[in-house]
Amino acid sequence: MKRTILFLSCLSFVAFAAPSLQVEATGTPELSLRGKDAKQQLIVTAKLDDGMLRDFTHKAVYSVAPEGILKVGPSGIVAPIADGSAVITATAEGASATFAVKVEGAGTRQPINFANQIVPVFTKAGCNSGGCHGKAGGQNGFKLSLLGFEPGEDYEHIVKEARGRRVFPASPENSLLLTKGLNLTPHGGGKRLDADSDDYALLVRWVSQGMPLGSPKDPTVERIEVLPKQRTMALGGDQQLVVLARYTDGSVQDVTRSALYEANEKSMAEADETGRVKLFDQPGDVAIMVRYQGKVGTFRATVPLGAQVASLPPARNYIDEQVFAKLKAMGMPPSEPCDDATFIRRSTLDIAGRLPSLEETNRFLADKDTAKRDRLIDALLDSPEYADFFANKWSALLRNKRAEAKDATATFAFHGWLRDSIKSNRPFNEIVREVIAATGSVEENPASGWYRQVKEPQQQLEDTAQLFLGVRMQCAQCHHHPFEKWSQNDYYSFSAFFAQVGRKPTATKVSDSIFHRRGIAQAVNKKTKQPVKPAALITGPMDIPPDEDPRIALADWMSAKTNPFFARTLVNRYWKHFFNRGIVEPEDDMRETNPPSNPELLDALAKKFIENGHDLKALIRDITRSQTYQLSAVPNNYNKSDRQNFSRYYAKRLPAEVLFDSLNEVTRTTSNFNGMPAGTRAISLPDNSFNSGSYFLTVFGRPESSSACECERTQEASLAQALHLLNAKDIQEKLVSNNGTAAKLAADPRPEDEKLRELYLAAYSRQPDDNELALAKTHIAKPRNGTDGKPLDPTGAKRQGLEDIVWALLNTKEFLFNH
Amino acid sequence: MTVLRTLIAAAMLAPGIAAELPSIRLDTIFPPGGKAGTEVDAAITGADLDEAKAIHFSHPGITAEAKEKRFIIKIAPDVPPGVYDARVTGLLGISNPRAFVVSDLPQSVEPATNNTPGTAADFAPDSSVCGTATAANSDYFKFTAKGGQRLILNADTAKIDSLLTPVLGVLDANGRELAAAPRGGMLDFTAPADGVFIARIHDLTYAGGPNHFYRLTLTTGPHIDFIMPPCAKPGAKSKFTIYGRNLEGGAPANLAGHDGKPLDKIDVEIDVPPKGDTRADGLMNPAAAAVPGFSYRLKSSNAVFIGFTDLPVVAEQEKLTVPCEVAGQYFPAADTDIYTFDAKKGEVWWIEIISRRMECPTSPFLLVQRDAADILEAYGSDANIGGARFNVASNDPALRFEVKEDGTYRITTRDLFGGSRKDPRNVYRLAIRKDSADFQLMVIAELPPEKKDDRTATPGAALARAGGTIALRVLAFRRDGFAGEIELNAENLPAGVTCISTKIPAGANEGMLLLTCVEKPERWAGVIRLIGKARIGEAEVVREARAGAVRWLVANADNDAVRPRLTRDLALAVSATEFAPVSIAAVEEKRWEIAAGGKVEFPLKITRREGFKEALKLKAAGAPGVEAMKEIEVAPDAANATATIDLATAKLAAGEHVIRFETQTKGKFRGKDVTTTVFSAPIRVAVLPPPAPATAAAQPEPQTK
Repeated sequence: MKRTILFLSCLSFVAFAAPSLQVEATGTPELSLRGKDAKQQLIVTAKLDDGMLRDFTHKAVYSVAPEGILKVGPSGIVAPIADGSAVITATAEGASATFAVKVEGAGTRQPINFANQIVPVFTKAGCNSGGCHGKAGGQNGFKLSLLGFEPGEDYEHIVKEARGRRVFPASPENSLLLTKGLNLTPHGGGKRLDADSDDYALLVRWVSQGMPLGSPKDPTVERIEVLPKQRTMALGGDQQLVVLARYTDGSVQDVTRSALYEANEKSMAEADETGRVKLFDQPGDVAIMVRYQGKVGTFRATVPLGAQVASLPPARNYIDEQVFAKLKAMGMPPSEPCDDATFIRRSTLDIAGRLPSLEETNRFLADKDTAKRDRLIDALLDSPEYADFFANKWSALLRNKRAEAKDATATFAFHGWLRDSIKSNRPFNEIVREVIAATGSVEENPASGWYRQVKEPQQQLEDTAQLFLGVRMQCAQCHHHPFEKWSQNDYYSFSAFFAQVGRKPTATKVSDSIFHRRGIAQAVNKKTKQPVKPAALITGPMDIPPDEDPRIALADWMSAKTNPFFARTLVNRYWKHFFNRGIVEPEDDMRETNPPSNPELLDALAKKFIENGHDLKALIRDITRSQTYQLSAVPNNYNKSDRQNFSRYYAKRLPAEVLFDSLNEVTRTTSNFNGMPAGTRAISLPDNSFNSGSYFLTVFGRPESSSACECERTQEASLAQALHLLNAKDIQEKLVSNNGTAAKLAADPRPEDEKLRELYLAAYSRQPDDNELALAKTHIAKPRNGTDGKPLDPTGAKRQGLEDIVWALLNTKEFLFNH
Repeated sequence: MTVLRTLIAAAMLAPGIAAELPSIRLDTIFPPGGKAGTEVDAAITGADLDEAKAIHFSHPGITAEAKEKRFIIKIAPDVPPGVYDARVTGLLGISNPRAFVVSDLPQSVEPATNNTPGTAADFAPDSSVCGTATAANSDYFKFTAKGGQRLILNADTAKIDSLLTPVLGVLDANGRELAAAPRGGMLDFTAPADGVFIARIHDLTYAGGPNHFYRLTLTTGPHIDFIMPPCAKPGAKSKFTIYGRNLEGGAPANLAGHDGKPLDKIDVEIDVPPKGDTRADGLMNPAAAAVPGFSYRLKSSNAVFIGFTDLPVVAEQEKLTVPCEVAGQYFPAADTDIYTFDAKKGEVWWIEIISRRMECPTSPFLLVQRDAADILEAYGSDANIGGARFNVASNDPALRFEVKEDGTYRITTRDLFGGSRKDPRNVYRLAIRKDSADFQLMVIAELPPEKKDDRTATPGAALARAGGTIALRVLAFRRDGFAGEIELNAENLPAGVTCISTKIPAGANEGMLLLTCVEKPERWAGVIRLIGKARIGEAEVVREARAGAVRWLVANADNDAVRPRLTRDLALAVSATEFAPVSIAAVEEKRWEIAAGGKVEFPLKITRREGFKEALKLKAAGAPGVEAMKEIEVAPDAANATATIDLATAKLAAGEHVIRFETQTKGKFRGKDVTTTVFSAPIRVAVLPPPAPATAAAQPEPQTK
């Protein structure tokens, strides 16, 4: 294979044989190193003859001409020796490339700036992490600001606190700061620095210089840039990154070794402290988040499987177009379309939160109409169970929590309002508006139920941002968001939308009446103690007249067609509902450093959702009508490990309530919830209070409505769940109930085949195959003894056999999962 | 849950724990209504229903005859449709009221078996059915409708004193839900095709029991959402526009109702009566005692309230000519209405909103500005002169605006609770009027508090026991800053019950009127009147008090909502056989004169009945300053005491006073432990003015500098 070597420095990207690639270069064609301490990571990129780019940085051998100007380490790090110009030649696999470098001021050292140079050392070494000195109270008497967001405070703590005992300019190496870092003085955090590292040398130099703080006029980091931004890489491949800090004075510095790296998919890739990314053997998309001085950047790698995608099912809508395009690019053939039996079970569970009835299944399977799947979707969306199921979802997220018995009026009312809104398909932006801009009491305006639990402006902004904008702002309350651009100013500006929320007492103490208190909305930034105007993430400060409720301005901004967060967050959340994985995952943590696995798909869904007037049913219709949704969950030879590209349906365990109802359905029994009508389905329960009386719902993870996070619902499997299904008394009672399935079928004169078919249809929405049928019949026909040891009569024996069969069906993955 | 709490509350007040003297209580009358011109076979539930043989209605055309343990209620054909009050009378007095509906539609009663769609009871359109929700259940009713037919399903619950919070639904014949109204008790349903449909009703939290009764009406007839203007001049013919559904002869209003369904409108001309009839319908919010008006309905429709005003009524418009009253709406969501008017320096204007008191779930806000500078703002009156046991606070604001300079002023009003909801029923009246001082009175039927900050609210009505004195608590709603004293008197009292005129002092919002019963009265139950008189300017203004009672027993008003309401009459009962536990009166009935700075002593007679022999501490009350008087200690079983009113301690102002002595005592009554507050018969006291020096007026003493 013929290879061309490309040279990429921080600033330039030079090619020997493919000059057309220079167009991709973002910096200057030549590198300038200034000062004795300047360092620069190089990237050597090979362009293969199939057009693919590969990183050769660590494979290349470097030579410099003339000698004595600079040196290049084996990992491609350039350091100055003397002033002058030189050309670096990198050679690998018979190809080579050159790169010109100019060195200036090699004999002089730039004065050290504490914030720009010293603080990043603590961050890289983990000293100021949340688990160490960076936590609110510090660690063992020494406190640093979290991740170095407050350099001024750090300087005080290091240099001045404890009578300056941490630094010793007369003998810098004996500074407590350094002996602790080397673990020469016993250090709870162990050894954080190597004595021969550049970072250590820098700290020594800083102390020896008398701990300069730097000048207020010194530049600060404006942003960081990660090179390359994106690559299509091979499985198991690696890529050296370069991280550039761009300063307010226009200068640029290589901070590759000072930056921190983290992969969003840890099963796909890792990056070491030198900025070298190593991929594992899993195809897909992975992002490496890069952090430096409160700024973040991302490197995205697409790792195709590279298989031939010979044929794709016909695309049914815009969703398929985007998903299939991605699958093609990834070289990942999708699974086959699912059969009708799978589809009716899957879609009924996903849309209406229940199993299809026997009658529905039989009718659907017998239906020859080619549009029957579309018709089924429409019927499910019109069913009351759709409203029950999604009201249940939103009720938990909107914290409709019953902490005390007297809260029932409020929780029932709020749930009722949610259900009514979903049933009547009220546009989502209107639902959200009524929640966040709610006024009145929960009795008179149930939408105000959210304010019953979410009482403080901070909580209100955090929930609003996470639920409706997919942004987690919690961190920014106390410090700059570590993975995002949000500052404390952003946080408090957002909270200002809720600053004028007033509360009036009602006849009971269950809830208050919410109203807009007239006045100029503002909040105080707890850090700066300065008042801030309302601002929603990217809007900038808004001037809202005292007579206008700022929450309405917020709702207006969210509803705007151009809002980049609102629609994307909702469609991603709903996508996850159906595919068990968001296009951005987790679904409420959308940020630059956690990019979507298919940005075009996310954009297309959001665009359509907005075009349709925030129509939730239309969104679900689009998703479930897509061929993508209707793919089989059974993997082919290529997509078994795919968790991002939606090349198949990702099976998921039934949610607690749905599983509970399904068990009742299959065993033909009912369960009673305290105070609710007999036979009330678990998906119709209005609040969390029923969990405490149902071990089943608790153990299968029904949420307590305590947070705005979907993660409160646990979908993981546990031993307790397995044991409960296998052995629990209440499950056994359902199996042996005199009104239950086994008893009824035992007394049913129809042939065994027919009855077993019915049983399989009820549990799996499919017919049993011949083996299953034969196995079941043999088991039922076995003679059995009663508890007294005497043989049971034929009906009793048959009933016991059927109980075993029902028990076995319920304990299969096929039953427990939607697939 | 509510049932449970009520039971707990009842248990807490059960025998064994000391409570007030028993009096009759009516919880339910079922069915809670009937068609005019028919008889209704009804049952009642309640407490202390001994010898409960009669029911008193607020309309004389409704009568009841006891028949075994039930009552046959006869509704005369000429009784107008409306909601009336029923009170049961028995050995232990006359009860709190329960609403009783008279309708022009046929009425049936639900069978007990209609708890599944499959066992739905028949329900003919244009009729009503009365039922009771059972806990953890729904009631189902089936009806036939034609495709496209618009039907209104309306549940009367809170309005008829029920504890039920209705959730309504309509299902198809297979039990599949077609429409639902999770709140509000009204469902507007258009049948998708000819067929059988099923109406469903249950409580919001699936609570149930006898106190969760309802009256469900299914009608193809008119339903009124609101009327504009919601006020008019009494005694004149006025034009109105009714907005609603199924309005015969109506036109599309091009307006969606609170439920998103289209509204019709129809213009009507109404003969506004000169006076409202408080015996039927009306507003129930206690703060609405000061909002006179009348109820209006179309044939077979629900009622709508139209208030009285003497001001010219105008529609929403930017420039107002004051005085006037604006008929406005807080609609659509976040509606802010701005008005301007011209005023001159020195003028005093009262600016008031009436909305919440008209039973709109609003919280009106008022702002007065000039050139964008704020002058006054009001968030609504939260002042509750009734106390925790009988909340009379209103969210309606009122402002006194004294004009400092000539100019154009701006009034802004919006609904603090209306930021995001779209409900055209939320109307308001904005009155801008010259100072027109006035007052309204309300008598609260409640037991004396057992302790300070008592949070127990008990339904009831006044019961005078033989030989005893009871105190009627009277609240004064003062308008436009009226602060003068109000003289109270009772009228239509039965033989054997007397009352001495007493006063609500200037500036005070509360007074007590004492009714004293002779030793051997006739048993009686009926309606009395309480009249207040005050001098406002040159005129003597006379107002008849409204009455109020709580609907349900609440053990702790901090935990459960007390549901106070206006009642449609003021009831009193006299017991001939039940004696007051203790009677206290001055031995000599006379007007006791006290010289300025002096004191007076007079003997008191204490009459104790069986079971009440405890020592007593008598505390004086009834006039400002008298509370400071030393308590009078009465030995156990003693029949005499001496009252000493010493102006050195009791700082009574010069003038006429009616005072009383109060004490709380424990004992056994009808075999139960009770703690009861005893009031003395009223005692008239005159504090004489200090004697003026003979020369003082003519020749003031020279002041020393």
